[in-house]
Amino acid sequence: MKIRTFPYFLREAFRSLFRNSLLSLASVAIITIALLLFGLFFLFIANLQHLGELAWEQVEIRVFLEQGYKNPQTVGQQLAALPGVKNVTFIPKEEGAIFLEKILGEKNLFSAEENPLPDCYRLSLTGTAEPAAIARQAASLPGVEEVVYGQAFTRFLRLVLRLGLVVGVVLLCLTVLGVLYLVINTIQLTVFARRQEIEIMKLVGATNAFVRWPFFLEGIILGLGGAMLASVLLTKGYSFLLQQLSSYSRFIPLLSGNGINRTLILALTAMGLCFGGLGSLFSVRRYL
Amino acid sequence: MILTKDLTKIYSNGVVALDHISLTINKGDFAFLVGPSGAGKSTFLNLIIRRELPTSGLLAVNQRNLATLKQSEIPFHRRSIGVVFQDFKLLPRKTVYENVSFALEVIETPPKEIKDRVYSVLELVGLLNKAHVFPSELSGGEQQRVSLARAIVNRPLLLLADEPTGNLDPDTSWEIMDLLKEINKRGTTVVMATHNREIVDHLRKRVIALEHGKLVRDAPKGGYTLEN
Ligand SMILES: Nc1ncnc2c1ncn2[C@@H]1O[C@H](COP(=O)(O)OP(=O)(O)OP(=O)(O)O)[C@@H](O)[C@H]1O
Ligand SMILES: [Mg+2]
Repeated sequence: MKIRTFPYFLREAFRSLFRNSLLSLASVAIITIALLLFGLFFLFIANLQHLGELAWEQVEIRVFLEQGYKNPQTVGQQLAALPGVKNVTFIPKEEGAIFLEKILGEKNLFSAEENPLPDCYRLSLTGTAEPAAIARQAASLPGVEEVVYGQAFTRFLRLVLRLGLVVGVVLLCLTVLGVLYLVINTIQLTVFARRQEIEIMKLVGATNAFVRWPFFLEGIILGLGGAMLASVLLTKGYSFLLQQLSSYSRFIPLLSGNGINRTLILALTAMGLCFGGLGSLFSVRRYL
Repeated sequence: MILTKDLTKIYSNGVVALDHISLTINKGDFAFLVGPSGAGKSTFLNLIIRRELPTSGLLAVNQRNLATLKQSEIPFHRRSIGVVFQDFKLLPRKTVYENVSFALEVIETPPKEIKDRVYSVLELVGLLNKAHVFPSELSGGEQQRVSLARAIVNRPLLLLADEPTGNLDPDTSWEIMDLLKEINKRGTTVVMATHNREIVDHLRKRVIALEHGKLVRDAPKGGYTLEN
């Protein structure tokens, strides 16, 4: 293959696209639909993960110290050093008493000397932390009496997130296969329409690579077209959705902004390019 | 140029299309391949361009053993051979010019050369005035000549023609024959499969006769049948 032949390949690819314009439009439409489906699952998974992380950050661990333990600061430093711990807040027993008084609606529940409440640390976690492991590590620190956290809640949350992720990824994989299948089938039509041309090319001495190139470029152009359309539709649709939900956004904190759009467009373009190119290579193979 | 020894081709359905053929065709030869329908003429030509593989025996073209030719070498092998197909094999959506230039483009001839070569070969076959016409607008003889133009535009060492005068009226057939003779005179080896008794008898070239896949006659200045 020579570099100077490249314009020929491009010309042939575009010629074929325009000559079979109806088929090309149909291919782009099908790729667009397939990529839309892919994008929807992609957004679903991304948001699920995002919500999961937000929820995880709500998980708090309370670490109660032994009565009258002398070095609460050392414990605090050790707690802050644990991986997955985002914030450490010290709640001295006096504050605990005020809190309890507020709940019970009584004043001067304990005098300063006979306050039976322990000193306490409140830990907030990062989105990916493992509460059970942190609790275990915290409990083994010297001076720690008891560690309390919402075990049932975290277990439930973890289950829901894992389930959602598995379902989402399975669906995503299925759409990926579906996209590939659709693209191959569509491109196969354009290749089939030109099988005679392929045969003659080969009979007059064209190499397989030479035959493949225009089809490869054609597939890439079709894939890119589909990806662009799907990107526009999805990002516009998604920002419309966000706008509609904006009044509830405190309750449904969906991912927003350029980050997710950029990731989405990148993923769709990569899919479109790969599948367009691979699909056409795969389609030509049987005629070589 | 072409050397065969006990060349045999048995198709997967069990048909013995060629049966122990041994012959030599030298550079610059002009040979007619004759025989009744199904004798194996097209099979012989298809073996030479490596569209089919020999079942057994030796087949060498340009000193290359085709049985051991690698897949990646096939295109380069074919570039040294021009073929005129019985059914023309023209692309309906390309013009006459494009159908011919196509053969140069796919073997990556420099674009500057392509134009000159296509026009000069179209001139040779007398189709300069039809260069930008589509095959469907041509007569059978004209399509045949486009097919011939495509076969020779690459200046092959060997030209294979499978019934290039089939379905043509006598006058047009003779025009094609004049072209083939002219090409042969310029040094190209020509092998032509034909049913055209008149042409074979008149030109008195080498005649290779096949019957049921067997070589039944190989005469230097033969006629279509032995009686002649
Ligand atoms: N691809 C194939 N698969 C199976 N059998 C084939 C194939 N091509 C040809 N044959 C058989 O091989 C035999 C020789 O065929 P071939 O086409 O070589 O004959 P031919 O001499 O060219 O005949 P014609 O003069 O009609 O063109 C025939 O019996 C034919 O049916
Ligand atoms: Mg035949």
